[in-house]
Parts: sequence; structure tokens; C-alpha cells
Amino acid sequence: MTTTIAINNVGKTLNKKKVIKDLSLDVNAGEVLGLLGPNGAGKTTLIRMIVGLIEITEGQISVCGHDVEKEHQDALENIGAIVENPEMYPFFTGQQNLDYFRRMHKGVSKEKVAELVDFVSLSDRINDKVKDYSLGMKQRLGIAQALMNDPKVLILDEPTNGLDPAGMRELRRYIRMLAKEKNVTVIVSSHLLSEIELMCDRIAVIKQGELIAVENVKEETKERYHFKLSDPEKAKTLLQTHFDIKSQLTDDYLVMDLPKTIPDVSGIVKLFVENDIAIYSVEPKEHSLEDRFMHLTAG
Amino acid sequence: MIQLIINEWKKVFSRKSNVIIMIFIVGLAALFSFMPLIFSDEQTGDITTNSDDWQSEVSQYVAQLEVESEEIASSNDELTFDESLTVSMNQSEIQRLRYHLVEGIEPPAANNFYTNLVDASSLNALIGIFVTIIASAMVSKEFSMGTIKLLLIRTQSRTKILTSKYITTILLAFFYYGLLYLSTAIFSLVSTDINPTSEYVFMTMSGNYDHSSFISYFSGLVASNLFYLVIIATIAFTLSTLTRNTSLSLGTTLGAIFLGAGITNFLASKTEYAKYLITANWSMEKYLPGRIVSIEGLSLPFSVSVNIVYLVIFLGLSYYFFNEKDVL
Repeated sequence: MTTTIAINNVGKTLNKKKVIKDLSLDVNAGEVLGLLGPNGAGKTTLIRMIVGLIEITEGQISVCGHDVEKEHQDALENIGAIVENPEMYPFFTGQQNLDYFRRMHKGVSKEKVAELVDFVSLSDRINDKVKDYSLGMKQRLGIAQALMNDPKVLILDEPTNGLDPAGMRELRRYIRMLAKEKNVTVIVSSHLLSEIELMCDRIAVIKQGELIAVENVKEETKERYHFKLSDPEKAKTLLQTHFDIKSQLTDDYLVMDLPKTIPDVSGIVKLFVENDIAIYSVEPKEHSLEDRFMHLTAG
Repeated sequence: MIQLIINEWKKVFSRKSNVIIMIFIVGLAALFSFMPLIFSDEQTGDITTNSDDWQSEVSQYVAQLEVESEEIASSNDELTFDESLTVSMNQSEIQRLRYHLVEGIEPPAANNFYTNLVDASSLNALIGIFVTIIASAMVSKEFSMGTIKLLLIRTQSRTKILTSKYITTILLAFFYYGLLYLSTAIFSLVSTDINPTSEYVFMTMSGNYDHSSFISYFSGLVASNLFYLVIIATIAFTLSTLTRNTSLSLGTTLGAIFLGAGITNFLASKTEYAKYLITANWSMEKYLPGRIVSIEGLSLPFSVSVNIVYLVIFLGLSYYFFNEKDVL
């Protein structure tokens, strides 16, 4: 796997305040990385540094092997982005906006623009003024604009803002396709895990300018169960000895994560029943990633 | 680069303010050209120019005016206001026509093409205001709309983007000026009499008459007007880049336009360093023949140099800040 974005010990000081602290992260080709963090955590600041809108105070970022500060043009040739809101010229139509950006790139054909319009399903409204667009339509126009130069790296800041569930599904499908078929590296930022969880391979959690965790989505969506039992202490030992599962006692519940090696929870229930432990309730707790996120960002 | 300028040009022309400005310019040119027709009091001092024998005709007319003045002077002991006005007007008319006779230049009609074109340059200050409106929004509007981010994440360098914006601003200033003169010239063809010679006779600030070839006089006027517009546009553009605030740069530039002359004259009465102010130098019409330079120590080469130094400083600041400052 090749690394397309390399962020090395990056720091940013704004108005004497450190908004990004010693952040390092590598993103690979064909990977979708989610930047997750509460509002004001520094996601947009990090994105602004990647696209060269703001100066990098410390450290270095390179995109496709080009330093974003020293070889700005070469790096940007590989990037398509929406930073913050998809702000377009409101007095232009969607088509005029895209033509405008087409003129800023070398060798983008009119056919390519028409293709993109079709791709983001804006064909019906493309000749309307952008000021009459909904936020979702602006978002889609923004994506069309970002894909104009066939970028190897696509950066979308809060792309799910203003999208309805159907639009969200469409975006997800689209991002997965870009990553898989065109080997594009995608960075999406969001403050809501649920919105990007399904489209990302990895999620980087940022809090107060620091990278506090990088979670692998596929592995981390373990199923967690809460058991209410007559003898939780005994059950805990049984789980350890029979399945090599570590569990904790919290309040009255025995909490355990179901490993991938065990297909479902029925085997465990059977074990408890065979050992005369009364089962009052078994509660599956999904979104363990979300729990972790809340835990990581709380306080 | 041409593509970038096309982009900027399209943006300006999709703005309502630009359309209003163009209507204003053409309207003002029309008003300016047709006003003399509406308000002229029955053909004062008009001579039917006849190129074959204009000299004797003018001599006759001068004699007629002299007789009229003498009659008024001798008939009454005390002159009424109207009478004294007629006498003094006759006096200056006689002086003007005698100058024509002495120099052998056929006098034009009172409402003539050249005078109209020269006088239209008084509307240049207005063009300056229009240019300020556009130039002060040039960079700051991108920031207030948020579109600056989309501009700067392209492969075009910031220097190139700012250059395309500056060139567009200057082109637009020239376009407005051209529009003013094109429409004035077209309307004047209808509303005025074309001058019989290529010589332009004008009154100097000391009250005497002088003449020069119209083309050279008019070229000097156009050059000084355009230079003025470039300076105004550059100031507004620089402020727009530095402050990223349209109203602030608009207000400051307009303030300089309106109060500049007054403040400069006030400072000039206190210190000789006032001549180094941009406001003392940006209008170079004062170096046209027949006009007076009110501030001591100014000359055309001096003003041109001072203006160029200011332009370089303004643009230097513009480029430095546009390239260096973070875009949030």
C-alpha cells in the first residue's frame, strides 16, 4: 500500500494558541479516513493545512510525495476538496460555477463537467442560480467541483451536512466506489460518528488539537453484550476458562465483547444454563465504536 | 492567465452594481452632451462659420459687439445689472475672437465638439468613484462569500490569482472611461457643431488665451485621467486585499477622493512635505497647458515618479499580504 498523505508531527499556532499539537498520521491510497472530533477540535484546521490555505507552524505534510508548502502546486494537482461549507458564487448558475472552476484547471473538457453533473444528479437544476439551491444541492455541486481534476486525494469537510438520508446513502456509495475503483484516498470529517462510520475504513479521533485514537472500523465493530445473571462472578470465570473472553462487572451487569471467532451468543447462553446460572436478561449493545468515541472525547 | 481574467470579468459582469454603473455612465454622457441644447439662451455669440471668408465675418461681429458695448456705456449713467453683464460678456468674447483673428484660427461654434469632449473629463472623478466601488470588492468579496477557499485550492498560485484580479480591475477602469468617452463622442456628434480646425483654443488660468493641437491636448488629458483611475483603483484594491473588508476599503478610498484635495492644500500651507502626498500628485490634469499648479515644488516628472513609487508600495503590500496571510 502506498501512502498518499503523510502528516508528520504537525502543529499549528493561531493567535498564540496551539490549535493542533504534534499530530502525525498516514493515509493510504484507496483508503477512506474519517476525521472525527467535536466541533472546534481542529479538524478543519488540519484540512486547511493539507490544502495549503494556512501556514503549517511545525512539522510537515506531504501529498503524493509533494510537500504542501514547498511544492504547493504539485501537491494541489492531486487534491480535490471542499473546505468548510461548499461556498459557490450565488449569482452564477451551477453550470456557470463549474465552468468557472473548469477554466482554472488545465485540460478539463466540457464533457467531463457534464459527466460530473450527471454523476452528482444535478442535471435538472444545473441551470438554476446557486442562491436558489438547497444545502444538499450545494454540497453535491461542491463534490462535482472537487472531482474536476480527477484528484488522487479527495478531502470533504463535513460532507454530510445538509444531506437527507437518501443523499447520505448516495454519498456513501459514491465515496466507497471512488476509493475502491479509482484508488482515491478520501478524507471525510464529521462530528457525528454515525454519519461517517459506514463509509470509512479508519477513523481518526481528534480532540483539542490532538490525535487521540485511530480506530479500524471493520475490526472495532465488535458486538457487546450485557448479561444480568444470578451468579456473575461464576460466569466471569467460566467465560475466561471456556472461551478465553475477558469480561467486566459493572453495576449488576456482566459486560463482554463477543470476539469474531464466536459466531453468536447462543454458545455462551448454553454454557451459563449448563452451569446452573439463571439468566435474567441478555442485552446486545451495538455501536461500541460510538461508546468509545464518547468515552474518548468526553470531558 | 487569460482564463483567470475571463473568470474575473464574468464575475464583475454578473453583478448588478456593474450594470447600474454602466447605465449611469451612458446616462451622464447623454445629459452632459444634450444639456447645452436644452439650456442655451438663444445662440449667444454664435457666428455662422463660413470657411471661405470667416475673417471678415468675425471682424464684423467683433465691431458689432464693440458698438453695442459703447452704446450701453454712453446711454446711461448707471448701468443695470443686465447691461453690465452684457458689457463684460462682450468684452471677453471680443478678446477671444481677436485671439482667433490674430492667430488665424477659425473660431468654433459656442457649443462645439472639442469643448464638449474636454469638459466631459470633469466626469472622471465620478468614474473614479465607480472604479472604487468595483475595486474595493475585488478581493474582499471572495472572503465574505467564502469562495476564496475554492480559488486558492486550485493549482494556480496566489500571485497569479491576485494578478488576474488586478488586471481585471484596471481593464474595467479603462472600460468605464472608454464607455464615458465613446458615448460622449457619439452624443456630441448629434448635439454639437464639429470644429472647423484641428486647433483647440482655451483660456488660461491667468485669463489670456492660448491654443494647441486638439489631439495633443486631448491625449494629455486622457493620459492624466487614466493615470488617476489606475491610482484610485490600486488604492481601493490594496485596501480590499489588506482589510478583506469591502465597506472599509470603499469608505477609505472615497474619503481620500473627496477630502484629499482639501487636506492636501491645508497641509501644503503648513509644510512643504505635503507635495509628497499621493493626493497632491494623483491628478495630473494640472500640468496641461493653461492650468495652474497650486502647490509649490510640483512638476510633471515629479508627480509621475511619486505616483509610481506609491503604486509600487501599494501593490507590494497587496501581494505580500495576499500570499502570506492565513485563509480562515
